[in-house]
Amino acid sequence: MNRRELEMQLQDLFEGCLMGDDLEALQHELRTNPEAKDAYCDYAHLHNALQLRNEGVDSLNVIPMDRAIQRDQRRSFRTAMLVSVAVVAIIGVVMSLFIARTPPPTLRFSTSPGTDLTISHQLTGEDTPEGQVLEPGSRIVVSSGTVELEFASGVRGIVQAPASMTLRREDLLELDEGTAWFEVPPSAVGFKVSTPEIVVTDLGTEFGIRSRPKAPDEVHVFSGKVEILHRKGVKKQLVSTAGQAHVAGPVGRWKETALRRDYFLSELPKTEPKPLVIFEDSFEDPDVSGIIESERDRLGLTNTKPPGWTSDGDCGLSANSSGVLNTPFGSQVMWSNGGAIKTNLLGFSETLIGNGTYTLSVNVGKRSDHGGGTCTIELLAGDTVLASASEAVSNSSTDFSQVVRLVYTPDESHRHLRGETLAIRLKGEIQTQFDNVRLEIIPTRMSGSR
Amino acid sequence: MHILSMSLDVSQQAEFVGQITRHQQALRAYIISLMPGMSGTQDVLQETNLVLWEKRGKFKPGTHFQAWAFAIARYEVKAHRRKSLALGVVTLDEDLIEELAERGEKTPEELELRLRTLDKCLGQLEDKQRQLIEHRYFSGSTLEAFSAECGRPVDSLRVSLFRIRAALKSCINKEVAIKDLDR
Repeated sequence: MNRRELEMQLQDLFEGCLMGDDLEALQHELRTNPEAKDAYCDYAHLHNALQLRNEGVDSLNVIPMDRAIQRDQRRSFRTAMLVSVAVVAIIGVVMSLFIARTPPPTLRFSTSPGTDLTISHQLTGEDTPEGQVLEPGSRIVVSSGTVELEFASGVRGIVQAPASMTLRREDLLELDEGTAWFEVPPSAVGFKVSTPEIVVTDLGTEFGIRSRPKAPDEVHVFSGKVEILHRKGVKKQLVSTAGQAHVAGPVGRWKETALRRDYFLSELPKTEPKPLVIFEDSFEDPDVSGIIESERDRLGLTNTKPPGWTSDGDCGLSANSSGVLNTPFGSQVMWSNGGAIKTNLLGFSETLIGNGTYTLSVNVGKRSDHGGGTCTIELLAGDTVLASASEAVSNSSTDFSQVVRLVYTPDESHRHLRGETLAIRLKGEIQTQFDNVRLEIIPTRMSGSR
Repeated sequence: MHILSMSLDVSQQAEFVGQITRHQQALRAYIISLMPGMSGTQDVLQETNLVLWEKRGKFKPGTHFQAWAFAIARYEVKAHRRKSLALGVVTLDEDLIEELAERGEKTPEELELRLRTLDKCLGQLEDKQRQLIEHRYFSGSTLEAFSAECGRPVDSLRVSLFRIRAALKSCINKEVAIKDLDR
């Protein structure tokens, strides 16, 4: 190990981020190389000196007398327990003096009905936070719904899915993705929110941040002011004041944009948003039941499609009455031997809109005698695929209980597609069976009422 | 409150408190060298001070206070280390750390000299470098948190801090060596 490697590893060791083989290698070096030992001592002294210089030694509180007295009292208390049990009533009172007060959690959160989230904590063992609380290092991923954050400092935030964030410190939240609104009391000025693209530092205010993977981040200031730092390019920093909104532009600059309160919520919704079904089909029309397969060709029904669907391959309808199917969604399914089946949805509600989350779900299955393969479902606007999902059809899916689902929330990169007709495309192989196609939308609340 | 009347008379107690206070920096440095990469050094220092205070009756004035205090600190670090390891913290083997900490022991006077020298060496850094290292230590942030805060990638911060620390170490060692020659 050369000197630079050694010193880098010492730095990582003292930062608490050296592990595995690197830790073993450093350990070996420190055991065998006297120069490495000296380097360790030098590093420890520098680390200590820098900490001391910034924190200092509290010479007036070297021995915390309150704790010293408390410990002494505890000892006296234990002795008293041995002497007599007659003072049980008093013990209750005395004990109450020693019950440690649990410090409030760094952040509490609550959720709106229907919210789906996962949490992971950095703290482990008995320090693992319990309940709806986050401590530094805790990460929360919100796949649907809305979360309210209440920091011990008094900062309040409302974050809408899809969102993922890590609490770094009481005054620092790392928001990887999400639409978030914050209200910061004067006592918590300096609160920061960091996204992959920007850093927002509160200067006493109410503001909102939109951070999405495929669109530039936005900061909207509703009162007071914030300092915004672009993390990329020329890293432009500026102060944004009440009534202003900025988009993180290319090469690290900021671009002013319209202030949009309607993007943000400042209260948790009290009810779960109801999905709106904008398309459903379980392939019951035309009725092909009662027609045995050997008769289909003769009757010209082999590749019959339901109205509105087209295909570029070998596809058609089958019914439970064929004896090889068992769908609970009506009595017919659509099958594909490898072709793509597509329907264009018509009507105003079936064009792409910007404010909502779309869910496309399709039940898939196989015949009892053969079939399966991998199927793909796609949601399109015009000819552009907005989202897709693929799954292998399980051997046990003869009952059509397997659901392939995709969730899509329009972002800025698809702004130009708004108003385009939505379409659904299903692809299968080795005779995949499709049924119960449903497209739903959960509209985003249009106003961020306070 | 009989806590102030154990064994030592008033003047001995005053001397004892003086010893603890005088050795705070050395104790802290010793604890840090025993806990590389582990959090809680301030808690361990405070716990050590409490135990020193509780055992003050056993201390014989005129004996080597630092050796006695360091032995207690070592014991407290062991207790803290056991808890940290149970929580999945990884660090160097205990015997190696103790050997290194012993090798790096400094008297309060040596530490004071190094602290004064550090101030001088910090003055030789560029403004940006000084701001970075002061911010790093003042905020107590992890590198990840600091990266999120200042908008620079973790790896870039890691390299910058490495260079600054290397420059500071070199400067301190040079200055201390010159002062040793002057003595």
